[in-house]
Amino acid sequence: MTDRTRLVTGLAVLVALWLAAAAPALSQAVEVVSARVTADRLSRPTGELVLALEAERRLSTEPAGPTLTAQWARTDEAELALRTVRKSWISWLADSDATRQADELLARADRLAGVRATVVSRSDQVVDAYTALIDPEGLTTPTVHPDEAGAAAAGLSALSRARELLAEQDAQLAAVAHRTRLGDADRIRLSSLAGARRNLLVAAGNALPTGSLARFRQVTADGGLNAAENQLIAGTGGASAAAAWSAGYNRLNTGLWEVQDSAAREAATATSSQATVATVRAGLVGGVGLIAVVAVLVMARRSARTATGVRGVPDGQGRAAEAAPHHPEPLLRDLERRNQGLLHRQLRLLDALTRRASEDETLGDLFRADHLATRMRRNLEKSITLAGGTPGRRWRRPVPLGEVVRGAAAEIAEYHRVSTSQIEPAHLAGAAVTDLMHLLAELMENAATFAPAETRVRVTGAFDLDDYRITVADVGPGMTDDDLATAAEVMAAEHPPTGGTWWGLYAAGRFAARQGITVGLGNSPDGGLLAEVVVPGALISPATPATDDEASLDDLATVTP
Amino acid sequence: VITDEAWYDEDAGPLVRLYARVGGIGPAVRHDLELNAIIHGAPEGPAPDGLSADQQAALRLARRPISLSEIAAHLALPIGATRLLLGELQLAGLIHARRPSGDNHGATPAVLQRLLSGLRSL
Repeated sequence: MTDRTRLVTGLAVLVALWLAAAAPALSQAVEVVSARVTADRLSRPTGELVLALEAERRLSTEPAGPTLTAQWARTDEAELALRTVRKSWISWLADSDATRQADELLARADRLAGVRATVVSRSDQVVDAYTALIDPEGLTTPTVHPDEAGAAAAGLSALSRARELLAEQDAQLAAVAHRTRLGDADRIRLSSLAGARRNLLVAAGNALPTGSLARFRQVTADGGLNAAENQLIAGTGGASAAAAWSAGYNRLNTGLWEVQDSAAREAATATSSQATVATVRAGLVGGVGLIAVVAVLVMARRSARTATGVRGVPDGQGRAAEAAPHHPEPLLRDLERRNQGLLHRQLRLLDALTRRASEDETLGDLFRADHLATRMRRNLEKSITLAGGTPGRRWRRPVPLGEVVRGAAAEIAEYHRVSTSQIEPAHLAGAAVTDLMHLLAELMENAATFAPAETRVRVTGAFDLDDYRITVADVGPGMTDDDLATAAEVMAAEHPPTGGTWWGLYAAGRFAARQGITVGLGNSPDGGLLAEVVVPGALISPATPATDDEASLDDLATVTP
Repeated sequence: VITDEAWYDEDAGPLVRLYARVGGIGPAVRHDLELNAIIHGAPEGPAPDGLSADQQAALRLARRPISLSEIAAHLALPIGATRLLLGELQLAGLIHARRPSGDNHGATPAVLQRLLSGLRSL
């Protein structure tokens, strides 16, 4: 459970890290893209509305006529165009400077009808009223191009503001044109507008994108406008100065509008590469991070499943144990049966190979392989038997008991240490073959394991009244009385003892119990352990002379001269 | 569902595997034991411990000179296995082997008959 908690905590930290990395990149990308889109779509209609309002302001200083009425219609058209764009699909992209300024401009344009009423009543305040509509904040707020792109944006702001001041100044001049002399208030007003415009143009020249700079210098190099302006403010120019101003104003206003437009495009291109970089970075950070997080989650889930699957099932059959946690036995039994079939075929193949082999070395190797396979078969048949089953090798007829004993010896690792020469001929019932063989193998292995390596294990067999007695004797240290008592207990027990030390004798006890065989352990008088196995007479039949080795050999001897 | 495969009697395979009948599992030594080598037991033979039943039977057969193939036939063992078995006895000095001489007086028709039937039983 602590492992699981640790895993979940680790994953939570990982996800949090990913969010921390991805969120800023993502929000920056959204910001840049949205600003870029709004600027693209909004800047032109906004600028056109401003221009229309400027034109209307200029015309409003003159007596009302068809020109002014036509300009009203154009202004209304420009306003409608901006409102349409603002209400379209980009409306959800709020919070950009461009949308905010467009919204504010449209809100001020709502007052346009009132302003036009003052025009009709020929109020002196008409120019100021329009100026308040176009740019209420004076010099501090950029009118059209507010967006990113740093210095270029500042330059554009200054440029558009300067152009607006120029237009306002023109309107003021038009408003006062009918007067012979300018009042002090008008003069101060005009000179402050001129000064602010000149300052803004210098600032714009320092910050504009390089591509538009040449055209900007060319446009502002015209000194005629400034001279006419000075004369008009000083009240010395007269009609010629007014004409020079008008011509210079038209050139400069048109030129500034062109520069503003091309610089805005240039800035937009620069912004678009910035937007691409931001988007790609957001994609990388967000996407790659997400893939990593998902991969870690999948791996964690998989390893968690494996961990829970293996718990409690040491043999690695995790999935099967999960499916049937309480009854894995049928599956394991089935696997044992399959293994038994495979092993049987393997031993048969080894039989064929050993009969064919003529090279001593090959034969030796085949014998070693055969020995290993035989020991495997012993384990497998033991497993099947302990689970209550019957091994696949079966005999209907009695078999020579000597072969059962020698077969048992062949099943243990150190089979060459077992002497089986003193076996009285007899036959064993077929049904008891595997049980007695594996029982004897356990006893022989026990003896070979606990006696010194160079000593032999002697097996004898002889009739004992009706029964048949087999002894397995070693020359090892024997057993203490306590151990002998434990051994007897273990062999009589129905369930295996804990700890592997006694498993061999437990299995021997199970094999014996299946056939009514009794096993006794004791120390022999001349040292070492002596195991006595008594096979009930019901399982034993006397040897048939014809099948006995000894008899046939004697038979042979009589033929030889 | 469990496939209860079973093999009865002869199908169950030999009770004693061939390696256990031949004897020890020591390193294979190439012995000069041809198919027709004549085997006979050493004159003084206190049969030692640890011989397999088949080795003991072979010793009994070799009380009189007998060919390797004849022993193989009697023990129902393949030639290769018989050679290993006898090789161990030869190393232990329990038997001698010689090449057959031109005139073999021992090969009576009866012996040949027995040999033939033994070979057939393979």
